[in-house]
Amino acid sequence: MEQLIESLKVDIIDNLGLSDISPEDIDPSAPLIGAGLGLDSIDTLELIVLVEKKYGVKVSDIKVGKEIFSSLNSMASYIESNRP
Amino acid sequence: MGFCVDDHRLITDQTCIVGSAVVTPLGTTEESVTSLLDGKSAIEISCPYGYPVSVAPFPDLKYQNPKQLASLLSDQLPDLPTYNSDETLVIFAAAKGSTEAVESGQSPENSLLQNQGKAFAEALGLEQSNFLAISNACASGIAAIDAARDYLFHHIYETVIVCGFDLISQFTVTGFHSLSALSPTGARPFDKDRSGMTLGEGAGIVVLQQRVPQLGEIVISGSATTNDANHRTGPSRDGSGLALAITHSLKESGIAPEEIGAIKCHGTATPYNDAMEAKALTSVFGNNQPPAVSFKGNMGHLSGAGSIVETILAAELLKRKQLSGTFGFNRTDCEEPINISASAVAIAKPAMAVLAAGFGGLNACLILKEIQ
Amino acid sequence: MIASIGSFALITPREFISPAGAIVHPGNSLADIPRESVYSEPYRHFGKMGDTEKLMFSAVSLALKGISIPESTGIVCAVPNGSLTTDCAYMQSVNEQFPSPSLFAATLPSSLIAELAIPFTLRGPNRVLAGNDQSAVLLNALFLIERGCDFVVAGYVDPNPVHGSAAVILLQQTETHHTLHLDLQRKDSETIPDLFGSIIAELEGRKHFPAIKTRIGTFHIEESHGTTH
Repeated sequence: MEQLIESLKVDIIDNLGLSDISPEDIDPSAPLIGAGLGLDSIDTLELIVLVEKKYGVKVSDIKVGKEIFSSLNSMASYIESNRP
Repeated sequence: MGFCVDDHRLITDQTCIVGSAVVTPLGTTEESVTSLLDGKSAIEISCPYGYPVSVAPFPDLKYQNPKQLASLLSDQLPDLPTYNSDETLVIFAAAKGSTEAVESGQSPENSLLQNQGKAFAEALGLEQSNFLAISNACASGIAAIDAARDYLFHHIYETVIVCGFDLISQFTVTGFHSLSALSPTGARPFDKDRSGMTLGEGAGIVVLQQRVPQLGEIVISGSATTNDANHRTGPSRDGSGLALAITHSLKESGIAPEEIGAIKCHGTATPYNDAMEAKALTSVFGNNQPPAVSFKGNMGHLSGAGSIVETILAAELLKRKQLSGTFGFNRTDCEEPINISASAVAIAKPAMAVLAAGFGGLNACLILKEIQ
Repeated sequence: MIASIGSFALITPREFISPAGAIVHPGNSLADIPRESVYSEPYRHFGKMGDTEKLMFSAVSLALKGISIPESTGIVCAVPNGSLTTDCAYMQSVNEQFPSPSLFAATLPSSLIAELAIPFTLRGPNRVLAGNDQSAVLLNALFLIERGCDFVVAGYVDPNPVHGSAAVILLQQTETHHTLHLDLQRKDSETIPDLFGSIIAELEGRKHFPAIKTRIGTFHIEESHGTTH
């Protein structure tokens, strides 16, 4: 889990182009969307693509996505429990 | 904002629509207007490029070719060759045009709008004219007409022709699907059960001149563009940007909101767009709103060229004093007192507002007026 | 029609030029721009922008340094390359079976407008010209001033790493009437491909900026006698 969280930090920074942010700036329990990293609705959709592309885990609904991406911790545990 | 009020040209000269033509999923101008008034829709539930979404394609696959579209437009406009001169400016307006060159990966520079536009102007037989391409996302058509009015007002050209086309492609279907914006069952603008937009395709051309209008002629008496400065793709939540575009256009037209007989909404049928538009309309028109229509349930969303096409169709409806019904609209969930036409109604006053909005927070409005 | 020049900026592969002076380009290539060199606050979207958007945003940031302009400010931009680079990147994501929503959202020639309108809060009119016609940018900017805009950001951006550049001229409503001519017929636009560059070369190092003026179909840049700014 620790390892997954660390690699997700790098994925998020790369995929969302967060050039002003380094991995240690991301608090795994803080909200990803809105406040926190300031991600918006397109970022949420991009995270859905990332999770499917890299981890083979599908998120069918953007509403569900918003809960999954409420924090890095919840994103990691969703991936852990749904990995093929 | 507005042209100088003390200038006599405002009172006498107006931007007149001297000719126009469209090709839509419903057919030519005549066919499209008839289908709108008859409450017909060209939307199909198919699986374009393997995606379970609705689309509104041209009635004939061979229309999906800019040269073919140009000839379908020029066939409807016999006078077009007379404008092929240095005194004419052609403004090509589209969000994307054809994406074929990008999809194939061969000579993607052919997909550049200015290159497509110049080829389209040539196919229309307007190769002697001067050329400009304007791309304000899905508000491109009205933004181009707004610019055309400036060129005409300052007498830089005798005639400005605004034209454009936008096509359904793998590029647009996959893209809007990735944004979760497409309805699987068809656009139902302003309806409480709306589930997103339907992509359509179309082409339009409008010939504009600045002169003293004749009785019964339709003029463009005001226009404006604004930006929400809010979100890259989503509409503003409060509709203030679109409301400002309407207010500026009305002011430039010198008419009050109460004098507007009908509204052609952008009405994409995404939950956020329609909610935003309801707020914009209510902030300008208040509790006593004129009937409003969206064509997106009939022919889908024609992207940037869409607001040329919709302006032309709105002008045709204004001439006939008949507003079509909003296909797919039954009951709204908006709290605002909007007045969406469920079926065809009479247009009681000789002026109409035409709205468009697009990615990048771009809003646009123009006012059509019948000279009485 | 007349407007005065409130500020300007030019980014070339070699230099950053603005009213603050000229500096050597701090990056390794035209669009390799360190955020701190143009914008002092951390700005999350900076790293997400495509080259075209980043260049335009950077040029506008340089031009507006220390200047505050109203929300009603308009934007007119020419984009000869449209969104071609992003279009191809997006198509690659489609071919890899994972269409990218954020790339698709930037596949429009007008994508750069949001990158200016949002951070600088510009709610005025917008016109994006697809192509190379820099004189049409200035003419359309003057049209908007004539229609009541107090300020218009007029820009040109070509992200080509070798011969590309980003240029911005901030126009504002003015009463001034002094002149320096830079002859430009409306139909000659193709013959002066680097109009923005030529104008900025005229402006560089001046304390007072000239006014820009058009008659019907012609431009003149007029020498300011130092009374307006």
